[in-house]
Amino acid sequence: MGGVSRRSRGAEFIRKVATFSRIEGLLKDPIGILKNAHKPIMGWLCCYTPLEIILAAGIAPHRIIPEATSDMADSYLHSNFCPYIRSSLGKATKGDLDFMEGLVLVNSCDGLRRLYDAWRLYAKTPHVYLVDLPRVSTDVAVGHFRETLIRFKGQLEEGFGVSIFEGDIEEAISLSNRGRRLFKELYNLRKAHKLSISGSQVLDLVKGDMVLPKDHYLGLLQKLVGELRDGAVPRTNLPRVMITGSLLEDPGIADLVEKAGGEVACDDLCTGSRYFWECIEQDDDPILALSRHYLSKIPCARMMDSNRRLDHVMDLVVDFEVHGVICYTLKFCDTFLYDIPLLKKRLDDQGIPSLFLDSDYTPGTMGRLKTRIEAFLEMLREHV
Amino acid sequence: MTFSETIMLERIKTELGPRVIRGLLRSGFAMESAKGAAKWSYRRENRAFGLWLDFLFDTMKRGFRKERPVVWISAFTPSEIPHAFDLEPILPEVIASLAAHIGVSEHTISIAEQNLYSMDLCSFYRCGAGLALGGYLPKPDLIISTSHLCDGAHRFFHNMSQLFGCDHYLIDLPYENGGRAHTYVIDELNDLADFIGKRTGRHLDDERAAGVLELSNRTRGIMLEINELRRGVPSPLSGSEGMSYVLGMNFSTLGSQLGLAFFRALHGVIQERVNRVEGIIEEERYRLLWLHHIRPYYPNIIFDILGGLGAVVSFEEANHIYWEPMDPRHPLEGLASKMLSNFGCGPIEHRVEAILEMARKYRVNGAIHFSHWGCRQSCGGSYMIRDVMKERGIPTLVLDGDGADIRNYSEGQTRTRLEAFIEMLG
Repeated sequence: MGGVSRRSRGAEFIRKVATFSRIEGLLKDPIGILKNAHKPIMGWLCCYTPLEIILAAGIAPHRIIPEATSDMADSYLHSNFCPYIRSSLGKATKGDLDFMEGLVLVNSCDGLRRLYDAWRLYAKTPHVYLVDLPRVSTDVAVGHFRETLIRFKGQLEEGFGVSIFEGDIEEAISLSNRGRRLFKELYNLRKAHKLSISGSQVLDLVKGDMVLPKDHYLGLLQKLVGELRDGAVPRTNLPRVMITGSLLEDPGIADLVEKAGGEVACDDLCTGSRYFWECIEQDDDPILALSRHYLSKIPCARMMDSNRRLDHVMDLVVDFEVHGVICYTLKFCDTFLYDIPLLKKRLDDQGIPSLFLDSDYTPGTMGRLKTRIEAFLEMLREHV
Repeated sequence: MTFSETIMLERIKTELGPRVIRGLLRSGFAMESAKGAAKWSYRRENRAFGLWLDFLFDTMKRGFRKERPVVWISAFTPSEIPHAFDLEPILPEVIASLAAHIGVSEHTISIAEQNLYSMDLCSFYRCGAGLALGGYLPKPDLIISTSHLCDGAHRFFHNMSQLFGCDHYLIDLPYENGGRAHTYVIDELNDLADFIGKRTGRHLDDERAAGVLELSNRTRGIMLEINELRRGVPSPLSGSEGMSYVLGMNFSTLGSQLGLAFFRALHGVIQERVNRVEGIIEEERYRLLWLHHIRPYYPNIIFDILGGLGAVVSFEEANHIYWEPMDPRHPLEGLASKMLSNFGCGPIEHRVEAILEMARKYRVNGAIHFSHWGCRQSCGGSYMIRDVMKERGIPTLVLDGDGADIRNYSEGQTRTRLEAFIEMLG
């Protein structure tokens, strides 16, 4: 293995950049920071959640972190169920999410549909909503989803005693787009080999936007991106890996890839690029703009046109000069599991080595994944 | 499993390899011969069962011969749609259950797993993928599926459309009825009619569509009468039968003359049993409700164990008639209403309400929720249903298992759980 890892150079860089250290500090206690913002807090899980409407209501959205917990809600949900969903319900029934005044779920998969039922039955969150999400992006579907979003807006207004005006939504879209542009800039720096922090650190930054008060966080992020623009670094000769799949838990396999001597060049993840990849195109009707955006963004495997996601993955492989792809899914995540035969064929056709992994958050999983990732990188090094 | 079924299974396993089965499926003459042999083997079964065999073999024969465009549909796609367009409907999920019944699902599932279909996915879809990859099914000219009740359906059919290079139309069903949901689905069905017309040259004919819906409504009426007869004590039809060929015909033939003939024949069979006060087991001590649309289809002894303990599955939620009659003058509106009224759509309360109504109507002592490995939508609600049923005084067993993959079936464990449950019923 040759070269210095981006991770170690990243560590060196972070020592010099106070902004990054500050963000890392905030991420140690996002809930404390949120509480200090003195706004109602709304939990969310799926990146199809229309966060802009929540922001427009003056509510702070907070993503429930995907991570293993001591309580996986085994009494309430069957064991053959998504670990993210079970761990989230486990936290709620244990009281760890009592700071949330609301939860918004999206009808994006069987798991979230059933979580909506279980949450209302077993947890104590005062306001629990489900936003219906079409699986197609036709004009009819856009119109239908717009109606759904209007209904959701009304539910927030009624539940939280607020009024949401078009201007509020437009402002929230602008704020959201500001974040999307900053993240895209970070990824473009990665693409141009000009980013001096590692892939796992970038994913931490994305996480910050999901869990911290957005307006405050984006100020810091903007400052950091400005500092990073000047951090051009020479290329490494490390294997460049892309991670695609559902979502990474915390801490995730990006860290394992870097510790094993690889570079996380890019990702196609719900906790990564799919969260921000496109900006929302403004329209005279801001709710229509949101409807169009969410139905036409780079799709999750739950959408009808999964080929568009696979096209995007293959584009990223080329654009980010990827040597190998790790496809990582949560166990029992059916929609992504069905993509595996299709993705594997595409990668094989292009001669891109691939590794398929899953996780159920059980103890020992990370050890198993570490071994397999090390072996994959060993193999990739022969190609670099 | 009956004696004749056991003999049939052994013959298929020992005498017919997969290659021979593929040859049989593709040969019209062989298919006719196989139908004759099957009907002989099952000659002691009832008249309705014979009609099911006719349907099965004739559909496969016509499908392989491509006598008319072949459309693969998911189980919850209204079969009235292909019948209205005079298409040949093939339901891979139903055929997968048959594959499990005759003992070939192990082979087809292994084909799917070799092709990277995860063991965690629903075994009916793994089996279906294996059947498709192995060439055991007529190739589709187009595919139609709906998004209810599960994610697996639309993703499986998407992959099949990629495999066969044919177009796939997904009827995207909103979470629940209300608001603009009905209009949204009608718009989609209009779009689907154009889609079918462009790909097959077969357009929606109002008269034919009205005829199909009338047939469907008449069949529905008979199905309701059957369900009324099933309230009788002793139970005149086993849930085991209800979830095999009866459900297969429910999914495949509504809107066809054959469907009407089948359910008429079944009605006659059940009425005769009621007249003779003939039950499924000698002494019916416990009446049970089976929850989930499926049961294990490979050889298993679940219903034998129950029978031995004096318990019978009197009804299964799979055959609950949840939809209203459709207006033949407005077929798309009627079909949209039918899909949206499925009690599996929307919040779990819809399903719970329907189940409680069934429990009351069929005077059951308890319920078994079959938790099919790989089924998130149903298993995900199993504990909630168990808890609500318990509050209402209806003991409910969550029985883990698998409908098509025998590797997830443990006879000893299943027996222990069933015995403990029935004992608890007192």
